[in-house]
Amino acid sequence: MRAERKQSKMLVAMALFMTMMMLAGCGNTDNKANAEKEQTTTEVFVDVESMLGGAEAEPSVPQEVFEGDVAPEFSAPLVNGSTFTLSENSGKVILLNFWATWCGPCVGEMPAFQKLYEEYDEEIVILAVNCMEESETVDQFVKDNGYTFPVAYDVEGMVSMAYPSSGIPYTLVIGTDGVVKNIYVGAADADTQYQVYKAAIDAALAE
Amino acid sequence: MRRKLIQIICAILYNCNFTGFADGTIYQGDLKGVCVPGLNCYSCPGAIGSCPLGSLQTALVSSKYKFPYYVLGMLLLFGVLLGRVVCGYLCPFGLIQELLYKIPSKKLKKNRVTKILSYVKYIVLVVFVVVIPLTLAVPGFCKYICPAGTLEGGVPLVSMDERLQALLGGLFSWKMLVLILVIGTAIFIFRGFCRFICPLGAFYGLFHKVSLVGMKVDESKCNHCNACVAHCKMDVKRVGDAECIQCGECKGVCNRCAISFGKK
Repeated sequence: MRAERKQSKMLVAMALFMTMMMLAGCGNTDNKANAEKEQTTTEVFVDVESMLGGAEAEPSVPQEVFEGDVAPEFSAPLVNGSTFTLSENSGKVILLNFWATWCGPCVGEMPAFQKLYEEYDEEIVILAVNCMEESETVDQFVKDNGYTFPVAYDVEGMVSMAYPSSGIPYTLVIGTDGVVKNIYVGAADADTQYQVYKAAIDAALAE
Repeated sequence: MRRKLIQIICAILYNCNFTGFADGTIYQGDLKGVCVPGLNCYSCPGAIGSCPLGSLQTALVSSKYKFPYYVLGMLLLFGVLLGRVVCGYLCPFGLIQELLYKIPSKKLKKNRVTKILSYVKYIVLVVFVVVIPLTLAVPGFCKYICPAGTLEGGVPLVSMDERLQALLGGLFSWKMLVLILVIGTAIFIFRGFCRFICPLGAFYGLFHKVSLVGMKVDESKCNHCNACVAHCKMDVKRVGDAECIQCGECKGVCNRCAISFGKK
């Protein structure tokens, strides 16, 4: 009995130790500067509270975007060095995609974006926003694959936050009026996706 | 009983984003950057942390661009500190199987076949967790096998999201079949998934000689009666070997009181 108590005390101690270790490491991923460490830790606790409290969640927490909603404004740096701002492209049909190098289906459908980019040229805007990977990773990926359509960094996840989704690839077609026309979660192969997006883009252009 | 309590607390702690279950969404805050020790799907609506096995596969898919130092480091840390103590105490999917085993039925005793099958998980580890992500760029175990992912992530998300329902195909059917097989057999085979399939348990098992804590046998007291191994429902050859989940059920049957849990 005593041995068992000792054992469970030890486990509790270990559990506490590991929790502390994990929290110390939390958020302090390579994406974030060490200077932000303390602040990040605080944020973590706020997150946990709002999660448990539910109702205490901040009112500014972005909501999921639905078809028919006005596309939320954002701005992001591009691989080519310029900056993309959504509102500066109003009046154009926009294909907005969220992706990551570790996401197989995302990488698989990318040739469709390249083909659409070459085909429609200035007529529409294509933007593939990377999800929180380092800029070097994104650069290397774009270079390896020779893609020329605009790709944005989102190291801090600010754009992803404005467009919450349970998974990627997550692709939206935004109309000339700035309203989201179609939303796609997941992707088949590039050829299929090309047909799907082309149809959506043509419909949005015809409006 | 203490162990059950720790298992239950652990399952709740891993999955305390309760609002996620209500609206079928995944928590994506900063904590999600942390790996939990046990097998617990990232895509469970309640999950506040990531599955180490899922994270490893995903990281290996893009390892060409970035080496997965964090995930490997965490896995090594869990292995060195705890080994398969994680399986016995900190894994929600182990708990689920143990609860299913409580359903009264005829139980399958371990035998030569189950001992051989217990090596299958090492093949699963190498092929589905390492080779497939590196060569085919898909998280092989998550995608083709993991019943924990189907149960914790697939079923709740698909049942609550119409857009995901539109994507269902042969793969989802296959994974449901795997899940049903694992759940069904768990009623009469003790922790069959852990013993034969789980690559995370296989990985932690590699640390059985070096992990900081675990079951230990006082050789000066042991009379080699083998009652411990006979009583154990896992395919162990010795207390504390790679198949041992460090649950401590053997302590009670040792009439020499030679078995204890602690720092090795």
